[in-house]
Amino acid sequence: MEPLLEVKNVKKWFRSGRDTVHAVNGISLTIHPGEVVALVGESGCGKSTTSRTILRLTDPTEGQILYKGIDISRMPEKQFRAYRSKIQMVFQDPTMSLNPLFTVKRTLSEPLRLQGIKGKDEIESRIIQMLKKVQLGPEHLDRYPRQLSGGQRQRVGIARALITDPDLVILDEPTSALDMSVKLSVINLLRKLQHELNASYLLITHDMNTVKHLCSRVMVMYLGRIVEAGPVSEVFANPKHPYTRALLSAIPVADPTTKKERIRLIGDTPSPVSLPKGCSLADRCPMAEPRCKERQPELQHLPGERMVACHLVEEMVSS
Amino acid sequence: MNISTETAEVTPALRNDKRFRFTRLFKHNVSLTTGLILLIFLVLVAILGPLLTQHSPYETSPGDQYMAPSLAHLFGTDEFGRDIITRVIHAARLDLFIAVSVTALAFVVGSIVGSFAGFYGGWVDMVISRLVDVLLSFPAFILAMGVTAMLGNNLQNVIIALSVAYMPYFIRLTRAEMLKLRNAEFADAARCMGTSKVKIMLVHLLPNAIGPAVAQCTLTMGWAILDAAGLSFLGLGIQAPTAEWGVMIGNGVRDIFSGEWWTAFFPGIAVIVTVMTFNLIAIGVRQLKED
Repeated sequence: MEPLLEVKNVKKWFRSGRDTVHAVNGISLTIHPGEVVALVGESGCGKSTTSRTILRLTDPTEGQILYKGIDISRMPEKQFRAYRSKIQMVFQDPTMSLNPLFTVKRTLSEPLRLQGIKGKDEIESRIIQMLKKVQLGPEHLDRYPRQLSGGQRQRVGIARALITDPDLVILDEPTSALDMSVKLSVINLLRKLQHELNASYLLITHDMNTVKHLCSRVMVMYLGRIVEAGPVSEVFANPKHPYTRALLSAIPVADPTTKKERIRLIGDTPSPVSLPKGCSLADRCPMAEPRCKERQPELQHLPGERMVACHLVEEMVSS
Repeated sequence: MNISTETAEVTPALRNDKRFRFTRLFKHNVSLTTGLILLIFLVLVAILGPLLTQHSPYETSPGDQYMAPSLAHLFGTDEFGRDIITRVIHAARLDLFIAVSVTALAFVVGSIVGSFAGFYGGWVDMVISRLVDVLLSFPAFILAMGVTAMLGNNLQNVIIALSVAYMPYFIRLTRAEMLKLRNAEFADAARCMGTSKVKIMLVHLLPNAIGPAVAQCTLTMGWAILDAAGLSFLGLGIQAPTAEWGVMIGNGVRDIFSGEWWTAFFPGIAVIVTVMTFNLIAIGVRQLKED
């Protein structure tokens, strides 16, 4: 099957005075049609920058982004506009991502107008259809964002992303600004819509429970690189990379009788201004060896469509 | 504020709430209330006043020179025997027209230019900001004097001169708001849809960035009245015999020493009341924003 999106060795560096911030350092990933993939990692690891380069909100410093085999990363903005409706985004904070002066109707009609749909009735009927899909009704058409609850706002955000029938939807922490009770209903809605519309999702999050609930494949990012990737069930059951292990051991379990072994990483994430020469985790890794500080480990394929970037991977496979 | 989904019940409740807030607003915000009442009075005077006066502002009457305020001439008469109350009322139209056009011009051009500076940044911002710095290095009134002296003194040039003098404030205010907003997620969302940059700036961001500039308008109206009168007083603005407050004050000043205080006093009061009206509204609007 032809991949929907291929990100090939993308780097994004920002200039900040005399320093260079290495936000994304050669990331490669593939998303197939209809697939739901998670990109996880801590704050500042480059998840959001990666998604912004895919959406062309910033241009990558290096690398290629292929959408159905066509490189969209260097395309002039005018030409890229034809692809805009096919790659959409649901933003983190629905309060900030909706124009406070636009009614729901106006917010949702803009993407349709930009697609060249002119008829007022057609636009309105498509909006009402879409609102129904996100469990809102025609009575919300003339509401302003301030007249909606947090959950309702995010539903409008989801409706805006999906109304143009995109092939790929990037979900940038779609539930982190919502409270617990609303969170689950939004996640269930996203799952339901994915089945109905058969779009691919790239979910960016640091919430492992959402990943488990929604995704089939997961990629773990650390300091601008992917350190581990594979099917969610296998990565969660048997994490290989020391960073993934630490990350997964930090998931709280709602059962006080379970005693979990907590793997703690010591120290802080290195600064993305001066990247370490070797493995970026070497200073914090409980299993680090001298070679880890010398050489950057490459992503290696493991059986079962898994990938890990760690020098100790052979030992891991055998163990 | 969360509102439940039952619209039928919510809508009337909301309306009541709004009316309630309106009455409360006027009780608490004395400056705004007083300012608005004065403004309505001024606008009525400007529109209806000339229809009610018995004299013409240019009708001279050689026998009635320098008559002190009396029942026949409430504000007295001037050196040509013209009725001063008639002239003050007629001048309200002209002076309010100057204030509104100056403010409108400064507001529209200033906020669009400021948007470009804040939104595009880089060299566009550099050029605009340096020009604003140059304009701001002169006091607004001196700048307006320079411009009218250069362009020639007629109504149109007074309006241009004063709006150029006040424009920097609008540019700075809108630029600062735009800087805050240009990275807003809803701007990114619009870009993801394929909205063009100019449209994002003008349709999505500018209406959200305009608040402080709108508040600045009320202040600018007051300044414009004062400075327009000032320019005329110096002979750089509107020229005699036009009925204009500044012109009247300018002509009347020399009469004060010979005892005919009323020729300059009443147009002066008109300027004070008008400027105060706009300042009260400005204070009220600021208070409104703080609440």
